Amino acid sequence: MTRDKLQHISAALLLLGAALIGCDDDSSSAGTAMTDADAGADTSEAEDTGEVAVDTGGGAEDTSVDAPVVEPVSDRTLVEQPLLGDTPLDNRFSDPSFQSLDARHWFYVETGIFGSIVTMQRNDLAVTPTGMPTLSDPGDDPEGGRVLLGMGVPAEGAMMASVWIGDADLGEQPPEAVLVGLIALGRDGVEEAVELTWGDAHEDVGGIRWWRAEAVIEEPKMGFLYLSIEGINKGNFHVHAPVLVDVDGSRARLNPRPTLTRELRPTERAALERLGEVMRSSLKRPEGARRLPPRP
Amino acid sequence: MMRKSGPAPVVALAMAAALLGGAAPAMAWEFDASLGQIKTTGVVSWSCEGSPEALRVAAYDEQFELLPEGTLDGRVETLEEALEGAGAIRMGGTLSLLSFDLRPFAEEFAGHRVAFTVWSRSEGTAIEGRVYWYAGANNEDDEERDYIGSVSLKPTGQATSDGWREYSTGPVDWNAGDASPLQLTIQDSHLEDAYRSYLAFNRDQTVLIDALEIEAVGEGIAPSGSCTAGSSAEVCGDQAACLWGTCVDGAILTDTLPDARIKSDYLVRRHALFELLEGGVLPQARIPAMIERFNALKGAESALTFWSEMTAAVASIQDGHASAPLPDYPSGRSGGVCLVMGEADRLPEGGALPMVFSRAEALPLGERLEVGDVLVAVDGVAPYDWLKSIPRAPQHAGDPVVGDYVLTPNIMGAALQAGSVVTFARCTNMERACTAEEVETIEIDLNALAREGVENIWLDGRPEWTDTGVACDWRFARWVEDAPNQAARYSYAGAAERDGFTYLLINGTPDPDFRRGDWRTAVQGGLEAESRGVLLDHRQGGGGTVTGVNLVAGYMLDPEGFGHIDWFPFIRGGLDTTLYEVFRTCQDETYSLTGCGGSYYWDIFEQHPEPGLHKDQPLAIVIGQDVSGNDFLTEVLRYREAPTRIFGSPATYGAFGTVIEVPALIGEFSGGSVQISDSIFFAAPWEFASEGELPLFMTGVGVPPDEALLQRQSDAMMGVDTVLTRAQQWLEEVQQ
Repeated sequence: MTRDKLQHISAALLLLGAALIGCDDDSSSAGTAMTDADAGADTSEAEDTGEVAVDTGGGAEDTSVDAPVVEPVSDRTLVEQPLLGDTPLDNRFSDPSFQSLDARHWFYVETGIFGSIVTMQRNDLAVTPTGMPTLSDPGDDPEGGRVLLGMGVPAEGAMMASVWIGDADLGEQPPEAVLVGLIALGRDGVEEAVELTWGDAHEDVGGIRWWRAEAVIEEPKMGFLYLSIEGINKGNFHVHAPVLVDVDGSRARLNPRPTLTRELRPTERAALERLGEVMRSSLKRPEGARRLPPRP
Repeated sequence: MMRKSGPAPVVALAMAAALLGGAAPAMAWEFDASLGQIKTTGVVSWSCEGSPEALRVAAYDEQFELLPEGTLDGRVETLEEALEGAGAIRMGGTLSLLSFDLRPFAEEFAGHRVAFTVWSRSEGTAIEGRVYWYAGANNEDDEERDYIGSVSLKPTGQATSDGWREYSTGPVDWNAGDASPLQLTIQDSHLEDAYRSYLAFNRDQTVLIDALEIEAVGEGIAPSGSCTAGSSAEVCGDQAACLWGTCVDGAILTDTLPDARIKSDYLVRRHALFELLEGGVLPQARIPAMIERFNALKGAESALTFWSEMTAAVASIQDGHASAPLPDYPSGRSGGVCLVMGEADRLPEGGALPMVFSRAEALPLGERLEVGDVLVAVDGVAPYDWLKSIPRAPQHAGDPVVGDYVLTPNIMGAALQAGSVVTFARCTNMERACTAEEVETIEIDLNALAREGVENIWLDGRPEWTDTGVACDWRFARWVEDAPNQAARYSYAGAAERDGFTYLLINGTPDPDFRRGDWRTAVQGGLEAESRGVLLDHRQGGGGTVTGVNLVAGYMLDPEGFGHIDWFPFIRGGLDTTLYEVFRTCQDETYSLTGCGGSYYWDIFEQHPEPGLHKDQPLAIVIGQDVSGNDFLTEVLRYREAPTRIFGSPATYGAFGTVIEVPALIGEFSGGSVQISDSIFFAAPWEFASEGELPLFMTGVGVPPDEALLQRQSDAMMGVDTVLTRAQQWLEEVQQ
């Protein structure tokens, strides 16, 4: 198929190229045929099937009135998938897509006496609320005490932190077994956690029920801060799309949810202590080596 | 919300490809919106509905063990949601890697520019894909294949509303010289991460692949004709580089450009991560200039420029821990010759130049050279000027005063890669410097040498010696029993008694208890022996751990004569005494091994077996290539009251902090690295409510030697280590 097809396509390209050289703007309808067809696709939100809603933008304006009516057999459309999905590029969490699970950006630890670092599970899923992967517990110790810490850098002013927690068991209520906080050091020297609280609504995407927890942090913080999550081993939970962004102070004050602060739990202190121990071995540049695959 | 988009009309794309000679986007599939399906239009395509007829493919499990024929047929699934046709291949679990043999297409695509594209739909895991070029691809013996380069299939930003995502290499030349790509691989993206990080490898996680194609997108861009590294820009243009004397598409050597949909966001997120995470105070001040360089790359059309300039921009911030993303496997071996900067005191011009410290004398390159020979030119250009001028120039990210020194061992590999002519100067006069007439010049055409006895270097592969990467050592000599290649290994430590002094050789500051605790045993054994003084030789110092630094330094420092070290993440607005005390108070009340907000109070004497054992004895420190843990070790030993003197290279790196890997974003092997803290040293315990100034943050400026001293050519000719000899001489002097 190859050589013949190459020659065939080359000839076709030349013919088409020659035809288009003489085209004016109005005569480029051949080039918009696919866009016309796109416009016929069903782009409404289909919550039950896990489909993500698609903004049709201005594409529908290109629909030709003369185009034959084609009954779509699929509601699949082409969409863009930005680098970080629908999450911001200026996200102050260092690894919101869970690509570097080397116990630095994301640190998952048993809070028992041995403080073992726990292996995490990254889940690349076809559809999620933002198009980004999720992180979950591998499920080997549903009763154990485990803390997940995610590294971030505070803004100079107010910040908003949020994270999606997915419940694959489709619970009717927000997953209260999962405790989400943001640990940070204030300029007054107090290290405390801000609770991320659940919103009222959920979204069902990809067969998982998603709840979003968020908080506004108005007081300035310094050093590194850590998203702290406990309890994801106590169910079929997914951590997804943690976001930490600067917010305007006046907007922050309009936030309807009160900011709840608390002291760190002993489990969180133990996890931070263990993380500090690991960082003592970080006086050497990490290796980036990979194996070459077997060759034919 | 996702933005709706689609490919530009296929007709327009096709025309662009024909008219612009390959500058058009690679994508040429068609999307039938009425069916919601892709129709591939590539020259070679596979709809994943059974074993491909036109493609030879082998399947492997997670151990890279070959799976039986027919495995693939068992992984074809008939799916309503297939993207092309009625089926897709389900990868993951025991089917971890597909390897497509591209050799059958060598003639079809010869001279063309191509793009490899595949779609995937994640159901737990994702894919990563890569196309590999080897010289000697036709050799049956796998070991005789000579890696040239590879390009990755990156997410293009094109997707479907139900989660299919397009991955493509983007345009790349089919040929590298006469070589064509050997294989295309598609593998479970979790596989390699699970080997090297805390990622669980779950065999139930799968990914569907569909609509694979190879598209011809115009003529190859690499000009024909011979080149040198120096003439690369002129002869090869800005998109190609000189490899083995031939222009090759630079993308094969660096990786292709990210897709236009992704590129700008990629650059923004990359510099945002450096801006967020960089802990060094001096490097932070240099980041705005780095960002400007990143922003200038948004319009880059050359992959070679894109990746090379990003590497240089990251190096410019003076963070010795910082590195740019690693898009490709490192390549470029030394051919069995190790060069280290030395002092050419036997040549009329003298100067600091690359000197042969060791060579594999049985190999063609090594047999032409002798220890003490000095590299005076590459392609007629002074070696360090040449290295800075070439495409893909290696970079040093630490204190620039030690840049040439640190990069010296890279020169031979880079010259071999380019196929350059190297000129060495030899003086055989053992009594004095040679006159110009007495200097023997050894000129080696590396391209010609590598082609000796080889009919076609691209098809047959280069001789084995070119791929020899003997373990180079920054030391001219080692005063320990030197089992072959042992003393240069990172985890090695050795000690010996020499004229009543203790000689200690280390190559880093690893965890002393790692692997049976051999390192601890060697260090403790050496430093707890009776001696008149200590000579610490860490000319090869790769850093490591706090505990490794503590073990060595704790013997040397007076517990009453040194305070401690603190490290902090970058504090915008600066760290004053008030904030400092905030951190310290928080830590004192809370933690033992860590500090609040990512800070750390570092007690050098923590659990030390013999603190201060050698605090009153003279200490000679010999430095070379020293980074991170070895920066700390060198600096902290300057706080001794007893005679202490540093000899050797222009400086250490100046990387005073902890380092982490930066996350990969588009399937790079690594997202690079960055230092996330900076350090201050306290000579005495900190007094709370002090009105004194805090010490300065250290990162970006290395520890200078008290005596800058390079290996002299005259000593090399006699087998004498200049720096060790001087260090021991000083130890004797201070005893008198």
